[in-house]
Amino acid sequence: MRPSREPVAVVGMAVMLPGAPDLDTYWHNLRTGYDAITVIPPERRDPVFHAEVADPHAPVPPDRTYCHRGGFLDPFTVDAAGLGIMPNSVDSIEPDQLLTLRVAAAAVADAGGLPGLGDRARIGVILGRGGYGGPRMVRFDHRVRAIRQIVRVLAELSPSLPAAELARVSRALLDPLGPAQPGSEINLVPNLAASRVANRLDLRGPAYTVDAACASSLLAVDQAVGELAGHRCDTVLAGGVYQGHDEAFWAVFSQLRALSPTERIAPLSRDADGLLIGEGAGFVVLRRLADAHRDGDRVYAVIRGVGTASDGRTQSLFNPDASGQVGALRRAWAAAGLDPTAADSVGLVEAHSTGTPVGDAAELTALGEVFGAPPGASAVIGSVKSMIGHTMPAAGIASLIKAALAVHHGVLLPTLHCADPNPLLAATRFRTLDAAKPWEGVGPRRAAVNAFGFGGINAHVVIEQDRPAPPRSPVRVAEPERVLRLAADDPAELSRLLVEQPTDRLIGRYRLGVVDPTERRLSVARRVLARAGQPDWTWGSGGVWFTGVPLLREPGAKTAFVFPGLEADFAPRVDDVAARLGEPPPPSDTGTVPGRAAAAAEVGLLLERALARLGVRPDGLAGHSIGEWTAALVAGMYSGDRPRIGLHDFPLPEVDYLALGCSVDEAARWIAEEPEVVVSHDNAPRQTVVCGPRAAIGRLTARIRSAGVFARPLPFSTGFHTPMMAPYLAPYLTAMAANGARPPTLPMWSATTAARYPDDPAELGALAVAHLLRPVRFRELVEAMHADGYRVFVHMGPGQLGSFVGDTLAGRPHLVLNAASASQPGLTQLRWLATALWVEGADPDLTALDPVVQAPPRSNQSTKDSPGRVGVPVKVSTPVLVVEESARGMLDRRVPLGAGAVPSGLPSGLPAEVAAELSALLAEADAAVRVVAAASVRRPAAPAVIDSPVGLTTPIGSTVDNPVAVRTSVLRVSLVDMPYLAGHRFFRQRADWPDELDRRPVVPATTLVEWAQRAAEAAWPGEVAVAVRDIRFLRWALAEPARPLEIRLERHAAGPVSVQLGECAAMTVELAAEYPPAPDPMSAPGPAVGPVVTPVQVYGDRWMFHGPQFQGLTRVTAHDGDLVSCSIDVLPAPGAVLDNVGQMLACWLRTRTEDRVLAFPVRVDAITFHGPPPPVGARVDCVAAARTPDPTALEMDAEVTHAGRVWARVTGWRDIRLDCDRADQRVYAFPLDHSLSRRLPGEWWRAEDRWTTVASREVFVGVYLSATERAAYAVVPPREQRAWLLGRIAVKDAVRGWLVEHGDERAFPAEILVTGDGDRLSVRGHHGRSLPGLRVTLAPDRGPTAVSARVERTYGHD
Amino acid sequence: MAMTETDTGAIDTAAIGTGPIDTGAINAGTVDTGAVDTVTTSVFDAVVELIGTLVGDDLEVLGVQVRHDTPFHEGLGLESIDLVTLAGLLTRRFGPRVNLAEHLAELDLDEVIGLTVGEIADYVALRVREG
Repeated sequence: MRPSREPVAVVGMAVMLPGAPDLDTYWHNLRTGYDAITVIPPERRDPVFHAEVADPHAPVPPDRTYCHRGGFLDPFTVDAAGLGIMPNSVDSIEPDQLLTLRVAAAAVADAGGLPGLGDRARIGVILGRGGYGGPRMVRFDHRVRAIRQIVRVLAELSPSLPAAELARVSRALLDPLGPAQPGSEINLVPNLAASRVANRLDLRGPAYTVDAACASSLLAVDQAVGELAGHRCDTVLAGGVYQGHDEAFWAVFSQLRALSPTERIAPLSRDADGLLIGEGAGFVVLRRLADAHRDGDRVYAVIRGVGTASDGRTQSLFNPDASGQVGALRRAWAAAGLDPTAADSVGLVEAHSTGTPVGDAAELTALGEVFGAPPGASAVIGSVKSMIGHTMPAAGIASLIKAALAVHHGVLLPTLHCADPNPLLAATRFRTLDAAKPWEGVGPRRAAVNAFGFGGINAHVVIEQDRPAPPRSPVRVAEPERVLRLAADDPAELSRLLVEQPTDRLIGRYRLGVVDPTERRLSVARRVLARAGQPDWTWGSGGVWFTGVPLLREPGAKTAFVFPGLEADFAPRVDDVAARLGEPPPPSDTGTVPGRAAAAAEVGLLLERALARLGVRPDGLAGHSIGEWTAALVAGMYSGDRPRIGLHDFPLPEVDYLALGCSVDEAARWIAEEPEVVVSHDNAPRQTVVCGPRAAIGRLTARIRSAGVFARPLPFSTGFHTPMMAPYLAPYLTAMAANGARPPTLPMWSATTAARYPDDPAELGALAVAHLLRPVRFRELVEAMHADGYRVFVHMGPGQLGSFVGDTLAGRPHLVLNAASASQPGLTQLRWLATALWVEGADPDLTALDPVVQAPPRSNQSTKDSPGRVGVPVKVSTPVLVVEESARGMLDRRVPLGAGAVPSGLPSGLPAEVAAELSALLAEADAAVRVVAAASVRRPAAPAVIDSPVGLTTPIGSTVDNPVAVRTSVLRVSLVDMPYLAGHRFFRQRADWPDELDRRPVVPATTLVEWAQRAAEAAWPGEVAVAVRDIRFLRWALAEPARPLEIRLERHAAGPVSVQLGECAAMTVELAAEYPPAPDPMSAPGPAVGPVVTPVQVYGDRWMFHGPQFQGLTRVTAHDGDLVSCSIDVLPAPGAVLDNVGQMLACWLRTRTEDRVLAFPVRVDAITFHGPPPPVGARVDCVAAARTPDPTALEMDAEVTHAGRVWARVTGWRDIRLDCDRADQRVYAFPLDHSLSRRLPGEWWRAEDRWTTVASREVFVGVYLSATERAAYAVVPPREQRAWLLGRIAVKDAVRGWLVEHGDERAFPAEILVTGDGDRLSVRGHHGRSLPGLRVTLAPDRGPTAVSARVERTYGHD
Repeated sequence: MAMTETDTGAIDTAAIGTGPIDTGAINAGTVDTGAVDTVTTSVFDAVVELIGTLVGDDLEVLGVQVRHDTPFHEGLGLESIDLVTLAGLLTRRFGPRVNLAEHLAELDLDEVIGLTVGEIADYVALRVREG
């Protein structure tokens, strides 16, 4: 049969899928069976929606799910600058658009870049994407609808809530959503996922999305094939995307009971019970096969046919139907011109199988019907969903790319969780695999891919291995070194071409390759060709290669990669190779055993990646000594990273190696007299290594050398491959077990047995032991591999190993190539290698490692960001309607005293850090009030000492001594018990900042006053608190961590009550049977002076730091004669009204002065009350006479009226003022957006001391330092504290400036953790913040009052 | 020839006259024989002849002339494993007093890798003279 449609080539691919940020990792995961399913990450998990359910098999309501696992993308970034996206707009674009763009760019890069893909007007983008809303759309919906409805419902539920309160609720809900960016709503339009690719890559063919539910990707491929076949496009990017994990989407699948109640996705398994949801994106770059061959493209696979069909009218729109699937399959095979029932029709089917019993049954029925099970037919079936979950519209592309990789690499791939396959498989030709295995057999490797969507839309694709491409012509010129390749059918013609027409000619049996064809090398080439008539004449030296018998053209000829173990002098030049691959240089040999092992392994792995780039792939793998571990990693035998076996903490015997210049037989004779010495390595006919105790080796060395035989001790002692390792095996075997050895996915050869590795896990374990105890039979291994057809041995390093192969195979046809050299650059060495391989009949891509002349659009081929530029993180979680912590509890009813109180008991003593916190901030104020406090000792009883258990054992209400009554109670102060305190925190931090201490929540001074009043009233029932006098605020009452506050009341007969609130405040409360009559209110103040201050300024501009629970000021007006007035909404928090009076005073100060605008109360002479507290929700008015007796003080007398009646009078209220000008105040109020340091030329940031008092400086200690840093600061000698702090501030501001500069998210100062001392400071992200590698420099001219700092990016360990 | 040597571009460096080791002190090639005695000259010729059996006619194709300062590894493309064979050839030609294995044991690995034809010849000549 002949194909009815022109075949289409897959010339580029890219993915981002769970566990796989790039194509290479995906391939690794597929081969090794990596399970990328995880529990939903905390930042994406709503605790209620995802609450554990008692019985996952029982129905759940729509706002719950019984399943909490799935496939989730790792956090990712976009190279916004490189892709031409404004960094600050990243937050407004649906993440799936950015994901799509990133993966599309990577696919184009994988295809060799845009310039090779032809006319941009004929490049299309077709993307499978469901019509689901993403997280940005949800956020917009919150703004548009949800918040409005919440507020309306609140008003309906609580009609007494004043409008101002509701407005505060609305504001508190909107705040966490971030600022609206008008106009950015365009970024929510779903089809932009495709359009953005066309826009950013400047592609002018059609660009659109298709939605066929879970079949979307393959429908996109179908459309793409049609565009190519119809010659409307020359290149199409086809793919699919699904990103979001939206709860509504999960709820749909929960309600349908499609999610696995056992939270395991087991496609094709007998116990499949449902799917798990995955996410991700993938793209293939498609071109007509003829064009791909013409242009020399790498072809992963060829699409032979695509078929699509709908179920038509079936029983249900939602149940899969085998007949529709059969239709799609048959159409695809007909389009391919192939007979699916042929025994060898297909080697691998990638099923749609999602792990639902109904779906699997329908699919297996359809497959059985279409492919049948003729005798001898056998094929592998699998589903990548077992590893990454069901990626919905992206499912088809994940499957297609998996199948294309399998075809390309010739590896059949495993499916997880399928130990007990679905019994329906028995009647088909299909079997699942539990480990990867080589894809053997004749004919092109062929695979087929299914994707079926809800609603009965089915798609099927048939792909196969590309047949050998005709030679490329014209050949791209390699820069910087040209390679001349000439081929002809006889040597004379070759000689003629060399002389007359030295340009590439690639067809013919006789082949000549010359790297960098200088005149001298061309003359060598002429001399080589002059001897071409001699039998078996070949050449491979000096940059010139020639043969008339290409080794790899012989039937069954194979290529092996051989990885080196420990080498005496391991100094390959490979840094240029790493740089070309965009990787950091591999570690260099440190001379220690772990260092040597790491260098050899990492260099080997780097070279493997470089050779893969060149299109050079092994048919089999081997290693020398512990190089076998590197080979095993490449063979996919270990999950995860390079085995760190033999490294630190792994014991080794104390024995020496001696390399002998003789055969193993001769060596055996030499050591016969030394019973402790054994042969450890049979390397080659002319080299054998023996091993034994140092003394014995010393005797042997002298004896052997005197006989004229080379004997050289090796510069490392490990004892590997000898019985002397036996006592030390345990840690090695434990480490190997942890690495979980699997059967190799490529033929893997053992030098212990000189044979292939076994597949049986038990045998693998035994071999791992033998490898450590028994000699390396490398010479025999090489013989065995040669006998198996290996002709080309690529040594994955520099050094001697290659010469062992050459020595062993001397005189027989073979080629040894070193992939690295100690003497010439790595890229040059690889060019030599590729040229040699071409001469021997391979078809490497000689240009793959050339510098890219015309840069393709910036792509993110992997998680690594391009050097010098930081990717902008893409927030993928769906925004949840929340209020910031400061707003929590804002609608709480008044918390009655005692509600949170605990009975007086034996609280533990104050922790040291609490004591430290207490003394922070107002050290100076403390000193100022100490005098006053001392004066108060005249009171009858000394203040109770909180850590004295004697005072605390007194139960509430007990009378110690008549007529003096003492009442003691303990109040538990905490944010949990008193959520309104969240509205009284000094410092701002990131919304999810875990350390509450860094926000410094404190009890407002006026709240302490109210607690004192209520405590006195409770102790002497029947009386009310009518006045509070001599109020002294001594220390901050911190609300975090939770702590007890002792309230000690002491009363002489019926006199005033002395109240001591821990060490925080002292005052006298007067009790009376009833409130005294209200005096006449003061006369109204005169006309306003200056503008009225609004709540928008007070709270929006953060004149006041208070949260919603204390945002009661409605307007503040200054009047003639230093009078100030305001209105106050009565909020539920205790002390809120008088706190607001204090805020009014501070606002007045701000209208009067630029300086010292931060003010905190330290004392009040008296407050008298003329009625009960005004009810919550009422509005009261306040007038005050303010004064500033000196620059450090602020005072007032005030009167508060409710409904025209005086409620309270305040006399002698005094604040202390701290150094803080308006600029500093902005830093205090908006630390995210402002910095204390000034930016100087050269990216220096200079922090200067502007504080005249310690207390003022302490404010910015709180703004800038986290608890960790404050602990360090506390032990710095006082004289050095200022410079220490300035250095931290400058460094943090420099880092913050750098982040802004590079489009990264802004950081609070506390998010930058500065460690180290003196000149050597380093920075890292704190509490979940991640930073790129940044190096800090402090300017040398720093002094005690100013420090400058700058940061720069470091590379290599991002 | 067996196709085993493809790893370095060193033959080029030899051909353009700069070996990796500064051999000024023993700078005598086959052309410049005036300053050296006849034992050395004849030994040098003999060593070159023996090396020729290791390298075959590759040198001719490469257009490389073996000189006193030609490095054994980089210049001739020989591996350290080939020293085993050379040592055997030298002992056979000059007797057991020429023990290259013992001589080279005193050099560290870098020096062995950078060994020149002249250094080998000088050692052999010394042993022959000491006789």
